[in-house]
Amino acid sequence: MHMADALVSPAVAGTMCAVSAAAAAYSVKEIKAEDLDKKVPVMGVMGAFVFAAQMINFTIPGTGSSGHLCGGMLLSAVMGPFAGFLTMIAVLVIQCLLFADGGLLALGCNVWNMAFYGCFVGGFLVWKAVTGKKMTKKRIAAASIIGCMVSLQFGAFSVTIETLLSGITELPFAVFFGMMQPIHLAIGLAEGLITASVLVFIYEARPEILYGFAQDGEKDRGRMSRKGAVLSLGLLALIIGGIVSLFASGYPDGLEWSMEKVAGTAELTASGTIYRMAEKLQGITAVLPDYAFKSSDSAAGTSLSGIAGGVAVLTVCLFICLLIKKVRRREEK
Amino acid sequence: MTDILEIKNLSFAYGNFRESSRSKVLDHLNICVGRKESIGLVGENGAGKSTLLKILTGLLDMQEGAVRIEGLELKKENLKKIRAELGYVFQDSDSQLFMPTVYEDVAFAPRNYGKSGEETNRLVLSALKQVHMEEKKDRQIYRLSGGEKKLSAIASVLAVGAKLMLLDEPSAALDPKNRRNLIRILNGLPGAKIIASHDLDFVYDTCQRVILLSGGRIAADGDAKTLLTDRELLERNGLELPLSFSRGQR
Amino acid sequence: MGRMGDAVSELHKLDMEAVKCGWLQRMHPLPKLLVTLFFLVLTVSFGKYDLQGLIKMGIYLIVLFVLGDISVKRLFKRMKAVLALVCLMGAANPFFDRETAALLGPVVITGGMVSAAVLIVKGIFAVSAAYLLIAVTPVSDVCYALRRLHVPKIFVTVIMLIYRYVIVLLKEAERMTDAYMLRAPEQNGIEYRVWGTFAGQLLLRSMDRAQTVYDSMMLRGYDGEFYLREKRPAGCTDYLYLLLWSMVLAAIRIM
Repeated sequence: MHMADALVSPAVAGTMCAVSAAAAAYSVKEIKAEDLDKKVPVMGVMGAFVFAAQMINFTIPGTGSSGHLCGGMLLSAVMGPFAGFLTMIAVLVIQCLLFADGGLLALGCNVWNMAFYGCFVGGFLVWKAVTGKKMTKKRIAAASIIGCMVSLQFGAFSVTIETLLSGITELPFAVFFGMMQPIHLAIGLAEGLITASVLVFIYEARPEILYGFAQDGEKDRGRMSRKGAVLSLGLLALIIGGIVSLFASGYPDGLEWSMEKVAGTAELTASGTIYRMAEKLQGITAVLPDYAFKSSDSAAGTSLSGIAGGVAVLTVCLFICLLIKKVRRREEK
Repeated sequence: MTDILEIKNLSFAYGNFRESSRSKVLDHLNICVGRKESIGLVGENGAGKSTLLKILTGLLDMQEGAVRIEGLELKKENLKKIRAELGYVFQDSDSQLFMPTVYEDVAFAPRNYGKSGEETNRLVLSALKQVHMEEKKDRQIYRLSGGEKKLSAIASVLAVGAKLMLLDEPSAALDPKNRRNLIRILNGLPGAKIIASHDLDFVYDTCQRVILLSGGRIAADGDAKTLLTDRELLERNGLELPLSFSRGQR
Repeated sequence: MGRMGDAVSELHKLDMEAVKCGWLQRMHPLPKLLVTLFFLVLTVSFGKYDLQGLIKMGIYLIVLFVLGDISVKRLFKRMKAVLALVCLMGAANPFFDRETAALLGPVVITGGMVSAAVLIVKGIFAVSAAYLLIAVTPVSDVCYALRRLHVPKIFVTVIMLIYRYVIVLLKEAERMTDAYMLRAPEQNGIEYRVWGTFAGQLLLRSMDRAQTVYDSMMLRGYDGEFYLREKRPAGCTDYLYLLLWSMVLAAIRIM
């Protein structure tokens, strides 16, 4: 699922952009060592392929609904995780610019939730673990299904964390978590099945284009296997550790890169309200009583007259603009 | 002046050449092309037309024989120089034109050959002028018609000053008007051309000389007007008289 | 016309808009991109109850939409998906947060209502701002701006290639879907037995196309470098645009 700009706070957006950029920079470095000039056109056309293929409706038997294929997993299986990751980022950029799927600020989150887990966890770790020794139809299918399900679980969990840390929803963690994970388990299974059937088809038709396939049954392309695995695992552990500790600290405001501080405004008035709210929230989120999120602002700051004033400003602005436009039109004539 | 292209004893087979007992795709070809010649390369499917063009561009590796283009021997070290003298127009224009706009695409080659911004601009505009596309230079490629795409593709190889143009099925999927326009433009271009096509009427209208390939060998090489009206020769090699002749329009 | 056809026509229309000759279209892409990002950061930085502050950010949108002559109609279409998501997320707020924020006669406005409204307004503003950028800036110009911001070349190139081939492949996928549907009129999607073959065929064709694209690049002297057209350098107006909006937006945020 694509995160929208409205769902993230600047702090969360910034952090996720930074980690995604780091992963991207590492991939660029890694891919430059491979035969780059040959990869560029493949990345471009395959990116466009994922874009188009994700619009195909695949009927899921017995449910009446339709599913789509998992881009990150598929791209990595064909081009390797690094090229796959960069291609997925480019796809996400285009989706957000041209079709308003996801947002510019939320790009870092989306890259992480979808591209990173899809390409590195599903498309690399799971793919390598399952098909690394021997590539067979069954193994490819298993790798695709497990890879999709695992990476979607990670992705869904990140969405939950990012949204809660951004402090925009009142949904308690347990409820949100309980909603997201099972839904994405089902979606992951459907995507996995579709991706599996595509990759199995490729294996039968043109196995040589699959990542890690070697004709004589031996593994070649040993270049990135161990070093890459260790590095990406390490990176993964670091990031997850970071997010979890952030989450467990239960005090995201400490990290909040808040404009209030920069601008020096004092909206942090009704601290009493916050505590009361926090207590109330803790009552609801009994499962995780210590981890409550609450933004630092309070409802008490809202006044209807203030909002009305804002609307009035906008109306005046609109009229002025319309007037300018009219005058300009007349001048042109 | 020497010929722009000399092919001597060129043979080629897919897979492993030496071990191959399979019939060769190209079998001891000998062709010379003059600087202003337009040559039609005809033959039924699988006769080796596309393979020949791909070898000339270096997209397929040479196996046996020798090829000289503009005096340079066709081998890996010379490839970049040779490709500046060659222009290959793909059958599928959409794959050939990979940049977003017409201008960007035509400018691709000059920039890669290290031309300055000003020089590039001049080359691009003059190439576009030759195919009458200068007004559409800022168009997005996907908004062009099939004919316009073909012309842009031709401009993109003209921009580096290709002296020998290789065209693979240039008239495929063009409507009659665009086809006529393409004939007019091709006939107006200086330099040598090799046009591989099944469209014998098109070949008749654009080429003076025709080479007929059959099973990897040259079945006939000679004047277009003579060869393309020889019903018996064409039919023996799996082709048919150009439509305009079989209908008696010429 | 299916989803792919819709997507293609949407791209067409966006493109037509972006190559018009208004003052916004003529502006250098870099300041446009920077102002958009600045606007987005400020917008999402508003506190969860700060509806009154947030709403003033609309000034930016109004000025650009009206003075830039940009069609508002298509914006609503793009809004649908994001609004659905944002509403879903915001829907819970009124239930969990019942703190009274204001009284409108006998009606109690709760904190949850305010925060839900803030969320929705943020959603609308963010989508509008991104639309404003892309409606006046062709993708190749956005790529150019990204290069100026030192985004790696390989990445920008891939974005450009994807943009170029999205339409080609969307049309191909549409033809395949049409051919399928014509022979399977009772279905509204691809049946599971042919999942692999259907998408796999498209994938193999795409790989072949990638090979041809690569050949075409090689024949024109490509050696790993991709050159973009030098844009005119940013002029006074461009800097002024950046400076003015930064000041105005920052002022709105602080006030």
